[in-house]
Amino acid sequence: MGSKYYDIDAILTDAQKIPCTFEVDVPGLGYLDGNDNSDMKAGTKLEMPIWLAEILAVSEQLGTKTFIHTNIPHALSAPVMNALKANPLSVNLRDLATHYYSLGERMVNLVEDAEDELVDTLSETFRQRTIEIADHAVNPKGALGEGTEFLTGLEESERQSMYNNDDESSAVCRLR
Amino acid sequence: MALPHQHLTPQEVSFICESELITIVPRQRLGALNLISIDTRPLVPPQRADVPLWLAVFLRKQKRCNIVPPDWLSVDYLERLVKEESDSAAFSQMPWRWMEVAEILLDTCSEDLISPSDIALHIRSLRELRQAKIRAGLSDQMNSSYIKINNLGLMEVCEIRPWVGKVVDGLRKIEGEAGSTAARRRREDIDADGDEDMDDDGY
Repeated sequence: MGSKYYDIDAILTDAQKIPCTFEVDVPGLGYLDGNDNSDMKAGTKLEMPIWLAEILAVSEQLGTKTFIHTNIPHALSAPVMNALKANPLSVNLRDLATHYYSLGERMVNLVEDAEDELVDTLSETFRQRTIEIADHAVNPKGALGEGTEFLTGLEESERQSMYNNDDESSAVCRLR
Repeated sequence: MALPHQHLTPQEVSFICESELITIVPRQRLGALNLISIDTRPLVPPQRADVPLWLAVFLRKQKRCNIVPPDWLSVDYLERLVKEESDSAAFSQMPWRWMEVAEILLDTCSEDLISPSDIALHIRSLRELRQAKIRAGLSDQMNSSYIKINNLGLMEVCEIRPWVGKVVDGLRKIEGEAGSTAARRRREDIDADGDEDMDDDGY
């Protein structure tokens, strides 16, 4: 963590929820699932923020008994991956998760059945989308309403790189 | 992180460029100057002398000298370069600070250049050709470890550096230590291709 401690984007990534399955009964924790004064039963499925799921699932990698089992969230599920493979530019990442790539990055480390394919698809998506973003930043067609659909679907880090890129290129343009 | 920019801004790049030496033909006598960066020799009118670009521009503005444009800043040479640039996929060999020097000279002493408007035109087309190549090159071989592009000028490197740095960093984060299989394959491809037209720009 270190320098990431005050990083608002890291905090927001931590707060994104992922589906988890309880592996053990937990007394008195039923209120998480909306049942007051009852116990959390093993097998209950629940959405939990990453920061919590990460700690509860920590022994999953060690192969010992663990509190919860983490599942792949919808944003990284097979249908979404297939859509990304088909055309990375047509998927609205922001609707799936505001910090999409950092969510993916965390899930790859967290979920044991995350495959190489997931990483490949994510990095290919990132590649193709950044190039498209750079084009938009240097040559804004926004006034004509072109590409607005793509630009509203940018996730947070993409949006930042879009605006930073804007600064850089306009600085060079100002030079001439 | 204390500074707003971690990279050289275009303004800084053109400022740095002003310490390049350039040949002038003085119109007036001037004694030797002991500058921090260089000691200039005394300027005696018909004899050419090499002085830093900023001094040349300064003297030119006061009409105390004429600037001798560098060899490459001529219509013939640039015409050849533009042709070379559009014919080959590789970047043609340009002076390291071509954009900045051309910019400053066109701004301050266009009377010393032969047909400055043509020169400006060729510089412009060179820039656009090269930009298109950079764009194509980046989309071809973006990966999580390095980007290689040969023969870029300082300004061009500084222009893409902040962006490329962020993208390479983002890819590295997504792919993790091992990197994706696609990335590994791409890396092997690039290694196999050899380095025809690409050079490390610092990542």
